[in-house]
Amino acid sequence: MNKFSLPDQYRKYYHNLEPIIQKPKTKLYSTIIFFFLVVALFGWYAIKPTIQTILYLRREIVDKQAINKKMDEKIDALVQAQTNLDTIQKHLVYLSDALPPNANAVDAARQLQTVTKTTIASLSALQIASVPILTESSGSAGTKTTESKYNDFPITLSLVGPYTDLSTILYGILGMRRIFRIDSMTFSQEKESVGAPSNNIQLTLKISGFYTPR
Amino acid sequence: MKSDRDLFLISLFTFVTVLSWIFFELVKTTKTSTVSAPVTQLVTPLTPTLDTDTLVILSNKKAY
Repeated sequence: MNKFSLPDQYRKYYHNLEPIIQKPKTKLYSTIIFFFLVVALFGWYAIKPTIQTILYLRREIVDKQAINKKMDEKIDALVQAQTNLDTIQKHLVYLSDALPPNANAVDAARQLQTVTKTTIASLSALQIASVPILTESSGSAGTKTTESKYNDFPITLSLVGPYTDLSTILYGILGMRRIFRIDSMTFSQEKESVGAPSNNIQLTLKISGFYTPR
Repeated sequence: MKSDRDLFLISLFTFVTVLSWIFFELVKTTKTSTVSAPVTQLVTPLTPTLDTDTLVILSNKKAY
């Protein structure tokens, strides 16, 4: 027996298969079936990773070019912003005056008192709600306004004086560099001790002070 | 003969499935951005203009 020939016990199976394999139709089907299977296998394990890598690299080049362009634009914008900032550097203190980093309630009270001292009207009461002395950057205290960009705290003022002076005080508050918002104001006639009405008006003013936790 | 036809159909459908799979994988690769989220955040446009009018208004206001 030839060493490459089949053993006798399996030879009969080959003899049975041989006429089937030799049929032209079976040959044709086998060729097509194996063609599809080989192409599918080759496509999945060889062609797909290659084309995928090519497409990924091409996409990466396009993305990197776009990023590079945007980075250049941003660098130009940053340089321009730095120039603008240097130009207005000396005016930046006004921002801190207008919106200090913490409540500075005592300073706010002092400023309001100074405004009232410019007239003959008297400041009979000044109340400030409890405000934090130091504020965390998260702005945990005070009333948060617009996604905690700034906080506010209420102040109540009681003023007594002639209308013109009270009007001057109101304009003075509105003209202060520190930002205050007038929430409500109530005018009432002041009564003298004997019960007769005087020329003075009592003004109850509710305002809000603002600060920006940084 | 019927088994030949069945095998042919199975191989054909396998072939078509694999080709479709490859095609959609390649489309996905083309469409997916390679830029990471931190880089996208870094390149968000910046407007360099500053509101100097507000500063002028503030400078005209009175500080006590």
